[in-house]
Amino acid sequence: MFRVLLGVLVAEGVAEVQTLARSLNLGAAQVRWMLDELRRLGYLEELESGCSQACEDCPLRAACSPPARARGWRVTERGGGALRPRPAGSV
Amino acid sequence: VSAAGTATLIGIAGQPNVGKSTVFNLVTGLSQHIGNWPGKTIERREGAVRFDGSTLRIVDLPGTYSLTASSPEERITRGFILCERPDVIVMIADAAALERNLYLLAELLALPVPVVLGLNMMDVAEAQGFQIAPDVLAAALGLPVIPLVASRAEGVSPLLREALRLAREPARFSPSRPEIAALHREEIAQLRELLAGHVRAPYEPGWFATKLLEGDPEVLELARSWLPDGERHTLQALLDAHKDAGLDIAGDRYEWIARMMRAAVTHAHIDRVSLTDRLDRWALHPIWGMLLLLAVSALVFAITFGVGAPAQEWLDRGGVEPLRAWVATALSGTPRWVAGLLANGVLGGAGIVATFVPILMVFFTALAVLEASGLFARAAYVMHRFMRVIGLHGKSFLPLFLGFGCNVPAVMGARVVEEPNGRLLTILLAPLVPCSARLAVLAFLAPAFFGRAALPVAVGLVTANLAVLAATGVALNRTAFRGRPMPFIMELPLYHVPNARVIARFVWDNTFAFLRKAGTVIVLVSVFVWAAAYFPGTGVEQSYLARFGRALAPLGSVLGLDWRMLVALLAGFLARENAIATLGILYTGGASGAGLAETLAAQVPPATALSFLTAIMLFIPCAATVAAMRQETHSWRWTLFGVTLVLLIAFGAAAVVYHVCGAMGPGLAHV
Repeated sequence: MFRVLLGVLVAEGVAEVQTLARSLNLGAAQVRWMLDELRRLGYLEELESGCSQACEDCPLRAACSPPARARGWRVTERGGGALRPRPAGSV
Repeated sequence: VSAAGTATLIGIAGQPNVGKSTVFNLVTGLSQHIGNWPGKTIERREGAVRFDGSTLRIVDLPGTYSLTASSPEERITRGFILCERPDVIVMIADAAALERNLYLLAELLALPVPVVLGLNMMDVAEAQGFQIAPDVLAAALGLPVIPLVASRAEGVSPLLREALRLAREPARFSPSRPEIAALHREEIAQLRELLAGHVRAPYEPGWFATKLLEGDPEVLELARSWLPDGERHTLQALLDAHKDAGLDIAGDRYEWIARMMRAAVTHAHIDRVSLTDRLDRWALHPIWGMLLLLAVSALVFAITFGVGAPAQEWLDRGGVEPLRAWVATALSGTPRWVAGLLANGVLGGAGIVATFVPILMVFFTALAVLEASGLFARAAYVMHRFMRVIGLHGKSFLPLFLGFGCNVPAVMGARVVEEPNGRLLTILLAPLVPCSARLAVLAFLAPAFFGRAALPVAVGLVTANLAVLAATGVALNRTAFRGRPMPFIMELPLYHVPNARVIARFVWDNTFAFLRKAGTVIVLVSVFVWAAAYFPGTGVEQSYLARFGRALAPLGSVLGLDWRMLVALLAGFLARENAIATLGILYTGGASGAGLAETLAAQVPPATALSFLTAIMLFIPCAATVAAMRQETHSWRWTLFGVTLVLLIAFGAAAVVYHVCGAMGPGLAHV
């Protein structure tokens, strides 16, 4: 399923968690977990928020509503490479 | 029961924030001993308790998502199980996030230790619509599963009872382990053969081989130290050839988890459609979403320049110009260059900075509202598919769109693009968007040069400008940014009502940053250009700027431009409108209205006019934009690259236009 998910991401170019969950017949939490797992394995990279300051140091954190920024990941070179067929004759 | 024969050793494992420590505190009460794990700064908490006639020694293990040795917590948990050989592991799982938690269980089951699963936060899971059947899950997993609400101390005694029973009768433990690496059986067998006789206690060869294939750094290091040279190379070649096997192994664990979930868990809320979902059906629709995006962009454009531009003009006429006039009058007794330096150089630059403030404040407010409401993320998603053709992120759309008004907010707006390459590419392309100042110059000069044919010429130039932008994006994407994968996944936030304090802070932070950083550069550049146009003080025609323009005559001949037009191009660096004023001084001695138009029409042939307009549309961005580029890239190298790139594009395109026009007939090349 991880390869399927990675394949969809590379083929689509752009994907959204809810839409991805619906198309793969999975729950959004499940997709989110798989994305985190792919990040942990080095196939995805989570993008930093555009905000220059981390929330924990921000004087406005009390006033800030739940994060309205999108979370984003991008496929790493390793992620893209994992889908390429292995050359014939490899060990 | 334990190896020592005196106490049953129980490890409490689990992912972070699942209530593991709550269970540990409930079980051990005050009888806790706190120290550190050997050689680590991570706390080791241990306690002893009498339960059901046995002494239980309980260790609270660090929270960990998996058992691959990529963090100290993972190494400690794995090392404890392998080296201290507990009688049983109690794994605490968050029932509301069971799938993620079962991943750790899948890894624990590969180790030689019985496991009891405690499903904590059952109340939260139920409130979220999860219906979990612990008995069914226990049957599917083949191990005891105990529901818990640790915050109310519910289920802890049954959990301990099951753990003790399993410790006393380990033979009863017969779990349904995930069958992993099914695709890689052959490689596992090869690894086991290679490692035969080399794997040392406490490691088990099968587990060791699987972890090697997963790319576990600690296991790999051990294998390298145990194997002789030749076999070490064989190992490396085997691992290199299957470096993505970890993906399949994780996939196998996932399949196992999915089976367990299907057997024992239903989610009542899964089909509930939220307000965000309903709105997103429109906002993310390929057609309606695009129309909505265009409407929102047009609104932001209208507000930014409907409110910002008049405020800019008011500030210029009501504040900056009177101040400059006052300074010039007040310094009339001083040498002419002193008054000129302060009134035109320093205050000229400071005036540009000040007049940018209203437009930036309105723009940043619009940007913050869009981002805080969740609309911006959706706009980015809708646009990404189109923008990625030229290597850009969907989020680049709005900054570039606003670049039609002014390139400064376009460059500064690029900060909303999180992906570094996308952000850089947006900054590099922003100066190629025809800003309002360029359009104003075009609107004045096109009728002067081309009379009735002005409209098609102007439309053609703007269209060609956009085509150059797209072509440059494609070219940069295939050269300088080549090989960097762009597939992108977003998790869109819920819609929000923006918080006024957050918006105000965002606007203040960003506007102040512009004043502080870009403002300094603009004033310095302004002083420099003024000095070049003033000194040695015998008029503009003899100024250093004019001499520089004449020195560029060979370049001018390629472009079909005389030195006056080259100087006008250079003067446009401070602000595009300066090009008209400079042409006025150099061609007519100061006229900038109808007189200039007539003079230009009489003196400038169509090929030269078209070449000049092409160059001015694509020419290096104004000083304010260059300062913003430096501020946003934090790099003079990239700023110079961007400036050089547009300079080459501008001169290249102008030369092509001039020579093509010349080739089409002498009527275009002469007045």
